[in-house]
Amino acid sequence: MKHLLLVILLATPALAHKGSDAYWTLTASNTALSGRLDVALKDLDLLIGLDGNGDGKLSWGEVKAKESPLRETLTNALAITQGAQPCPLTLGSLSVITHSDGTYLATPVTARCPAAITELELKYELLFDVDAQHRGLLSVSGTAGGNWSAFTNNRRTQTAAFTSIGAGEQTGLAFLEGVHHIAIGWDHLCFLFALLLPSVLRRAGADWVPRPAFKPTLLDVAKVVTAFTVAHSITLGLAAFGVINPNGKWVEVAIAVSVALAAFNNLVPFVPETRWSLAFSLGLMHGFGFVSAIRDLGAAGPSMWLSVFGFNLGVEAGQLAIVAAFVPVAWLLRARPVYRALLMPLGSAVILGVALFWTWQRI
Amino acid sequence: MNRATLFVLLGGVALTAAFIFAPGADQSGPFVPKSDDQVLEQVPKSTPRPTTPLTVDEAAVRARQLIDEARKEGGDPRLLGRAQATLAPWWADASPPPQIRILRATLKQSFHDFEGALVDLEAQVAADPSDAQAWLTRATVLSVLARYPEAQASCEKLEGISNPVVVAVCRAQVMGVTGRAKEAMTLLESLTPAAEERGWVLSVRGELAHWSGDDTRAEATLTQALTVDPNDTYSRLLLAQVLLDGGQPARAAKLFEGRAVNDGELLMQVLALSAAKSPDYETKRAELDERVAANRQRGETLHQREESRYALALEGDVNKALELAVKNWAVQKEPADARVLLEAAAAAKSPQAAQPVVKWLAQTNFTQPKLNQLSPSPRGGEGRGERP
Repeated sequence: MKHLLLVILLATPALAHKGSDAYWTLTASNTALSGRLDVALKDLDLLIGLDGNGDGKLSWGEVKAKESPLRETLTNALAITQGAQPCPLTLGSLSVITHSDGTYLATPVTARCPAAITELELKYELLFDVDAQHRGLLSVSGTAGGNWSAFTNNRRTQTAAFTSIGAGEQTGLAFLEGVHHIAIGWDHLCFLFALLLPSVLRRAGADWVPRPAFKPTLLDVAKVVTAFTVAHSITLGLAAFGVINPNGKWVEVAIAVSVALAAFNNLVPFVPETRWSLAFSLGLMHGFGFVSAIRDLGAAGPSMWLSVFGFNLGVEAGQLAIVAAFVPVAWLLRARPVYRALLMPLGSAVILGVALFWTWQRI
Repeated sequence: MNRATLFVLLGGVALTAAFIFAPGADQSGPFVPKSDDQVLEQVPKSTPRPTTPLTVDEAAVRARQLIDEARKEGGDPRLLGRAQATLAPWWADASPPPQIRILRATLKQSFHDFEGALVDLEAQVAADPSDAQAWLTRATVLSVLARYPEAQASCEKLEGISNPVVVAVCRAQVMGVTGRAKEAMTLLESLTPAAEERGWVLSVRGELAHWSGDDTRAEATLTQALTVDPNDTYSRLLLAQVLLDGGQPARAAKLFEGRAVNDGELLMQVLALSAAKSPDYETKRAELDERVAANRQRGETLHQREESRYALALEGDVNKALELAVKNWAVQKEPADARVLLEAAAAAKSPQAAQPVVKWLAQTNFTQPKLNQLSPSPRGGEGRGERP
């Protein structure tokens, strides 16, 4: 049904672009709260007038120029209380984030309450006076992407129940996630196997021969594992804390290529005895690959390092468990023809094939 | 350290460096823009926000501007929310000033609060029986609620207080959903609308042609309507549906190319791209999925018609589609709503769920053959076709 003057909005869904939403996440850890507030730049522009030169294009410089009124507006719009006691709020440094309908200002929010956090009274009243359909969507205790409950024009406060996560528990959860990630991460597993298959052997001319003593084998394994660990810890840390923002697609491609190279090195060795260098160089790529898993943990704020630390520990533990299971078996089998003639070349060839398929698939 | 080892190590460092300096296309998390000049968002060139409280007349003018702007933008909910905020001092008033009440009714209607809008409109026409806008809006709302005799009566009230074109279109729309689409078309064809009414009349004529089963004519008329007003979202959606029904999905998809589409248009575009097996399908589908997810987070219940279609055609969730279609029919009863319910009920093999629409088809003698084909128990001869 269509109407000339005003009623045209009727059947064309009013969902046009998207209603105005802000996203507020909060996680509790004992008496500390940490989280993030994302507010659309076009909404903040309406409140504060961010477009300094009035050209209709909002630049990062223009946003930064209005940093203090922005902070004041955001701070005044939020309040957290525990019983009758306020939990003073602090806003972190400004950054931006992309949501489905445009660019948002993203600000870390931290607060400290007088006592251990179980239930809090939260107030949010940004924007309602200029957009009556605005919603502040709240997600508590790290369930990012899970359940959102809305602050609306008529509901500007709500009581939120927090499952407070202690430092130990946070690290523990991240640890388990790290172990899990290795256990299901076929590309990481293939990479490790490709590097470890020759550990019980050594190069003699154009052949692989069994190592006579266990110590050099152990040393070789230790070098490979350490190099891999150091490398992926570096890049995981850099990416988790936002120093590097790697392009996810090409990280996946690089990881697939790294697996292929490690396997290829077993068939046509270019660094037969110094595979730790491959473990290091290519391990750097695997660290980038772990970042998405860390992000899924919903860790943010000052306690983020606990998650990164726990996750990395979990990755190492999972990796060591595999090494511990694999190396003794390989050691026992090393002199058998089945190992040198079948497991080592065929295993490497299979890994190479799979890795090339992944590469093709991921490009 | 041999050369190969050194080469491998340097290669790894170089590769990592490449990732540092390469633009991070994957900006799923927060980031600090690299340059102050980086443009982050387009905003209206001037949004002077009034700092002093507005008078009744100022507020009415501003709210109307925002509503008009929202309409041009395909119903941007941000602008509607701003219009509502402008009316905030009077939003809960039992009897606000008339110039506020009509805008409040319009907004309530756009938020699909039809009953709420009707209360305001009843008060409005009682206070001022010469308010043509109120009678016209009232007729539309009553039609959406399937209260056709009252809608018809509301159109009759326009006689003498509005121009003949408005009266005729109001009548024709009610006739169109009560089995007299062809008659209504004849009525509209005899009109000579003023320039600013031409697009509107063409759009309604196109819709009537579609309802009477003459999609060839609907296509021609709606194409003409879009030439008159390229921003007419309503006609574009309808034309896309007509083309899609006529097995021309590529042409339907082309209608949305290069336009900033609203969610309803994006859904139609994706349906068309899917039917046309277009390579653009994946990209647009991802965009639509993202918007649907955002609306669900928001807890929107406004768009059940579109959500039902999305669930049925794209998610393949028959039960959800039916549930949404049933809920939607309880709120609004336009032909497009009837179709969504029929399609969902057919997919769910639940003819029982379609009964309200079957009843509606029988009561209204609605003529569109497509709907009658979808209906689980086709009506007999007397209901089909046009009454003389």
